[in-house]
Amino acid sequence: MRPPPLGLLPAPAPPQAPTLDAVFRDHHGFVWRSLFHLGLPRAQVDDAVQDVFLVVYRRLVDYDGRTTMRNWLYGIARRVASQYRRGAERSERRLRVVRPPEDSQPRDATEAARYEAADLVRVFLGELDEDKREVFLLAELEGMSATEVAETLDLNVNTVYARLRAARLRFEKAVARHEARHRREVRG
Amino acid sequence: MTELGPSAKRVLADYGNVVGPQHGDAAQNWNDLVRKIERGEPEMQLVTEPPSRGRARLGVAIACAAAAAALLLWFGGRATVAALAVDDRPSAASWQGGSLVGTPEPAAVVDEVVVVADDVRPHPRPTASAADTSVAPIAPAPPAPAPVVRKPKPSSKAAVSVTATPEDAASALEQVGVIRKAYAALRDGDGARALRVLDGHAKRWPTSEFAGERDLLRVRALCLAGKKREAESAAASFQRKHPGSPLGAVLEHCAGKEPTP
Repeated sequence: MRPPPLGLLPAPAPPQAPTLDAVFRDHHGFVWRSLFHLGLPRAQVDDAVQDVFLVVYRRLVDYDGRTTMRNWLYGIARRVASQYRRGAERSERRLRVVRPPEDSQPRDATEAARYEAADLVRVFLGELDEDKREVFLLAELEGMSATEVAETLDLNVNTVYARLRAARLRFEKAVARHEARHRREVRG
Repeated sequence: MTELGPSAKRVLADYGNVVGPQHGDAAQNWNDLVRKIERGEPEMQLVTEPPSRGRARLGVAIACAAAAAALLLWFGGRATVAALAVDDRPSAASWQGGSLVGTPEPAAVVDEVVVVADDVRPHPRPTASAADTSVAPIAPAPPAPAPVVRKPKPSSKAAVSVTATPEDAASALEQVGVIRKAYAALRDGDGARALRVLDGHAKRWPTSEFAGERDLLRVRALCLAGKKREAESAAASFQRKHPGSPLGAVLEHCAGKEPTP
C-alpha cells in the first residue's frame, strides 16, 4: 500500500504537558526515598516532599522535557534537602542516614530478616562517601542507567561508572561479611 | 561492569521494601500539598548548590585563561595601534559617525516620549580601511544631530502595534488591583465577596489577559461559597479552556472530587 501524500498525514499531536497529580502519582515514592537518602530525618521527609511538589506546581510550566522527569525532580529534591539540612553538621547528617525508621517493628521472622537486611544497607550507606552513595542509590535502588545518573548528578559517565564500581565492591563485601556472621550464628 | 550478586540484590530489595513512604503517606502528602496550594503558600526559595571541587578548579582555570587572553589582547592591540599611528584617545568620544559624541547631554524632558525607530537608528559605524588607519589624527567630526523624539502619527500602523498605549497599561494595573481584591477576599474566606469582585471584572473586561486567573479564582470562590455544583462546572470549563494545566488537579479537589494521587 502506498503511503498517503505528505500533505494528508495527520499533524502529530502536541506533547501533552504533565499534570501535577500525574507527576505526584508517578513519582511520589521516588521523591520520598530521594529526600530520605539525601539525609533528612523521617519526621521531616513528608514536609520536604510537599515542598518539592510545591516547587513542581509552580514550575511545571517551565518543564520542557529535555531531561527526564526523575532528573528534574531529583534536582529539586536535592536543593530542598539542602535547605532543610542547612546549618546541620555533616556528621549529624551521616547519623541521620543510618538511623532506622522510628516505626520499624518487625511482625514475624521473615520481616525480621528483612529488617536485618535493611539495617545492613543503612549501615553500609552511612559509611559510604556521599558521592558514591548518591550514585549507588540512584543506580541500584531507583534503577537509573549510568547515563541517567550522570545527567541527574551532572557528572561524567566515567565518573559514575567508577563510583558505582567502587560502591558495588564494598557492598558485596559487606553482604558477604553479614552472611558469614549469620551462618556462624546459625551453627553456633 | 560487574553487577551485584544475587545475595546483594536480595538485601537491597529488602531494604527497598522497608524504606519508603508508608501506606497512606502519599494521600496525606497530597492533601497537605493541595491545602498549601490553596492557601497560596509560597514555594521554598531554593539556593544553587556550590559547585564541586573539580568544577571550581575548572572555573579558576578558565578565569585564568580568560585573564591571560585579555592581557595579550590588550598589549597586542596597543602595539598595533601605536604601529599604525592611530589616535587612541579614550573611547568616550570615539563614536564619531553616530550620535554619541563626547559626554552625553541630559535628555530633554518631553510630555510623551515615543521612540520612532527610523529616527534613532544608529548609523553604521565607519569601518577603518587600511588607508584610513594611516591618517592620523582623526579630524573632529561635526556635532551629530540629536536623536529626534516625535509624537506618533495617528495613522501609523507600526507605531500602534509596537507601542503599548498608556490606556493599556492603566487597564492592566487596574485589573491587577481587581484580581488582588479577589485574592484578598478568598484569603479572608469570603467567597461571596470574591465572586462579586470577579463578576465585576468579567463584566468590565470580558476578554482579558487575566481571564485564566479569573476562571481559577472563580472555582475557588464558588467552593468557598458552598456552591459545589457550580464549582464543578466551572472547574470543568477551566479544564476545557486550559487543557493540561497543572491547576486542574487542584480544581478537582476544590470542586469536591477526591484527589487521586
